[in-house]
This record gives sequence, structure tokens and C-alpha cells, in this order.
Amino acid sequence: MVLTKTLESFAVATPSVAAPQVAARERPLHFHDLLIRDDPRLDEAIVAGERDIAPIQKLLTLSVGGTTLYGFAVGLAAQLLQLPGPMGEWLGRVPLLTFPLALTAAFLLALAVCLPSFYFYTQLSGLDASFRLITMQALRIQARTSILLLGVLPVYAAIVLGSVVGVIEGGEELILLGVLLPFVVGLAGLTSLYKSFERLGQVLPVAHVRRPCFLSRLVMAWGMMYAVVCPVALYRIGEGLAAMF
Amino acid sequence: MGIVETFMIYLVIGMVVATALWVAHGRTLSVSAVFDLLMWALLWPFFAPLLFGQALASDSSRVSSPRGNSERARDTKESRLHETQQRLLQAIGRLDGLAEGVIKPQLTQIDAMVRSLDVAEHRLQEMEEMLHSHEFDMTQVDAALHDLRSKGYNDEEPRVRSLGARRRNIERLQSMRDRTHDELERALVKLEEISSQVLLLRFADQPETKLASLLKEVAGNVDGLATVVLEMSEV
Repeated sequence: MVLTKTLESFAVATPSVAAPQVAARERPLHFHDLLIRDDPRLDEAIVAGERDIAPIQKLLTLSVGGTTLYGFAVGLAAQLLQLPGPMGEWLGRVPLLTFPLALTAAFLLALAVCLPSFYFYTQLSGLDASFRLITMQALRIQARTSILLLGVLPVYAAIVLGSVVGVIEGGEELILLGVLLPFVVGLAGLTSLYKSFERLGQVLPVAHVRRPCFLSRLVMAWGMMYAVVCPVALYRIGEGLAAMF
Repeated sequence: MGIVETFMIYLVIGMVVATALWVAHGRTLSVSAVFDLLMWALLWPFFAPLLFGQALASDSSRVSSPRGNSERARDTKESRLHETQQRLLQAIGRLDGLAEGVIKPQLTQIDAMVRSLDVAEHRLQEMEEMLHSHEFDMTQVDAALHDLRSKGYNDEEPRVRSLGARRRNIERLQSMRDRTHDELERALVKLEEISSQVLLLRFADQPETKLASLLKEVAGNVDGLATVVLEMSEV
């Protein structure tokens, strides 16, 4: 077919982008599917997001949906376990409501606050990526983390259930695990970012001479920045919401 | 300033960004549009860059500089191609309901074509730049050839042969440039046609339009565009 021939002919010009498109025609793209597999085809959607609003909306919907659902599960666990001490004070009287709100708001707010820094780090590393591309990449990490959190959720729910019926001890530790888990799972999002920039680095313009291991440094800078801002945001928003409810 | 006051200011900025996006995308009032508006207002930091990008794109097309006619014509074509691509993507973005579902299989093809056109456009730009370089200066080659012939050297002379080969290379590159230029023009017209057809798909659920025939036309045009792009790659 003409189209197949065209795509194959352009595979030489843009190997990282054109080649997966041949396979992409076989079935429609679903963001959650691509995010779970960390499919290279997601890069196409990321690049398309520079010109279109739809991919941003889809990534945001997945981010908000996944995080809220996970937060709701942890909040429910905290509600059932009725935690005393500092953790209980921080979550307030209605953790079922405060925790999902605080988690979702903190993750997105921290991301929004970090976006300009992410842009500068990327430029400094030698990748001439637009601010829109950086926004899409940041949302990609968040969406992938949210999707993977949903995968971890049944295991966490089973452990909490064991604690509620008295098989496992340590209610406060379990909630702490629930709070920390998104940050651990977030490392998978960072791995996805590294791989994506590795592919995009071949097609993105060179801002200046790239230093050795520039991708590792770039991803580390993103991760460190976010790891500092997000917990602070989570703590402050949680505190504020607990005071309100 | 407390969390409530900060949130109020955040929302005010969000409303401004959401309104600007609404205007920029030319949305009409519907349930999904209201949902989008809420999303834009609440999560504006992620949508604002898109807005700035559009503003910059339109500003850059207004900027003029004292350059040659060919360069200006090429820039006009580039911006026209970019604008056409933007319009097509916007037209696809405006689809909802049944039409959105049925156009989905075509999206990847259209996306691939748009990328290929970008590659072809970049190639054209490189050819233009090369034709302005020292090695591809036809005037200089002609002058050198004229100089050698006036000194009595014939075609057997190695220098004349070398200059002749250089002249042929320049002519070949000029012909490749002209062909790519023409094919890009053809692709541009095809893109505009697809864009108008996609817009028509919005009203496909109306009795006066037939979804199947419209889709067939879009698919045919996407294939036609693929042919144009293929021809460009074979230049």
C-alpha cells in the first residue's frame, strides 16, 4: 500500500518517530495502555501535544483520576484505622476526604511549580525542548505514576484489610507506607522520562554541546527538585485541609 | 495570605487562561466544552504554555525582516504549511461524538503525513541554504569556466571537466529543490482539502450528510497526500 511505502521510506529520515507509526496503524492509541507499557509510541502523542490540547487533557485526566482513587483508598484506610498521634492530627477528622484532595492537589501543584525549573534544567542539559514539550513530559511522569499506583493498590488494600481485621499490626506505619508509596512508584515515571528523552534527544535540536551523562543528570535534577517540593506541598495542603474539615 | 486567598487568586488567573483558550479554540457551548473550561480553569498551569505557543506562532508570522524575495516566499510557504497543519489539528480536536470515533483510525496516518511534510520542508530549507553556499554558486562556476575557455582550454582539460561536473551537481540540486517545492505546494492544497472535510464531519449526524461517503473521501485524500509525500521522498 502507498501509505506503508511512504512510512517505510521516511523511517530512514526519522527512525525514532516514523518506524513505530507503522505498528500504530494496527490499533488505535490508548493513553493508559501506552503508559502501562511505557510504549515509545507515547512520544508521538507527547510531541503532538505541542500543537494540540487533547493529549494534555488526557494525561491530566489520567493523573487526577489515578491519584484521587489511590488517595481515596489510603484515606479510607486511615478512616477505618482511626489513627492517633501526629499522623492522625495531620489527616484531620475526615481523612477519607482530606487525603485524596491533598494528594492530588499536592502532586499537581508541585508539578506546576516545578515546570519552569524543569524547562531550565532541560535547556542547560543541551536539549532544546519547548516549554510545552516539558509540560507534556512532566504530565507523562505523573500519569504513569498514577496508573502504576492503581496497579499497586490491590496489594496495599489487602495489607490494610489484614490490619483492619487484626492479622497485621501497625496502623500508622501502613498509612505512612501509603503516603510514601507514590514517591517510590514515581521512580518508574522517572525511568520512563529518561527513556523518552533518550529517544527524543536524537531528534530535538541541540541547544549547546551536551556534557557526558547529560540525560542522567537531567533526570536526576528533575527528580530531586520534585522530591523536595512535593512532600512540602503535600504536608502544607494536608494541614490546611485538616484545619478546614 | 491563607490557603483560601491564594486559591482565589489561582482561580482568577485560571479563569483568564480558560477564557483565552476558549476563544483561541473557537469552542461552542456544550456539556463537554463546559467540562473542558472547568479543567482549563482549575489546572491552568499545564494549559497556559499551549496558549503562549499559539501567541508566539501568530506573532512570528507577523515579523518581517529585510530579506530576499525567495526567502520571504519560502517563509510564507512554511508558515502557511504550519498554519494549515494547525487548522487540521484544531478541526480534528473539535470533533466529538460519532465523528470522533470514526476518524480515529485516520489520525495516525494524518499525524505521520504531517511529520513527513515537516521533514520535507526541512529538506527544502537545507537545499535552499546549500544553493546559497560557495560550492553551489553557479555564477562563480560559470565565470571560472569562461575564464578557462578564453585561455584556450577545451573539455579535455581536468579543470574544465571538474567545473562541468560541479555545474551539473548544481543543476541537479536546483531541479530537486524545484520539485520538492512543487510537491510541498501540492501537499499543502491536499491538507487544506482534508481540513475542510474533517470540519464537515462535525455535522455528519445530520440527515443531509452521509458519514460513510465523507469518511471515504477523507481516507482517499489521506492516501492521496501519502502519494505526494512518497513522491517527495523519491526526489
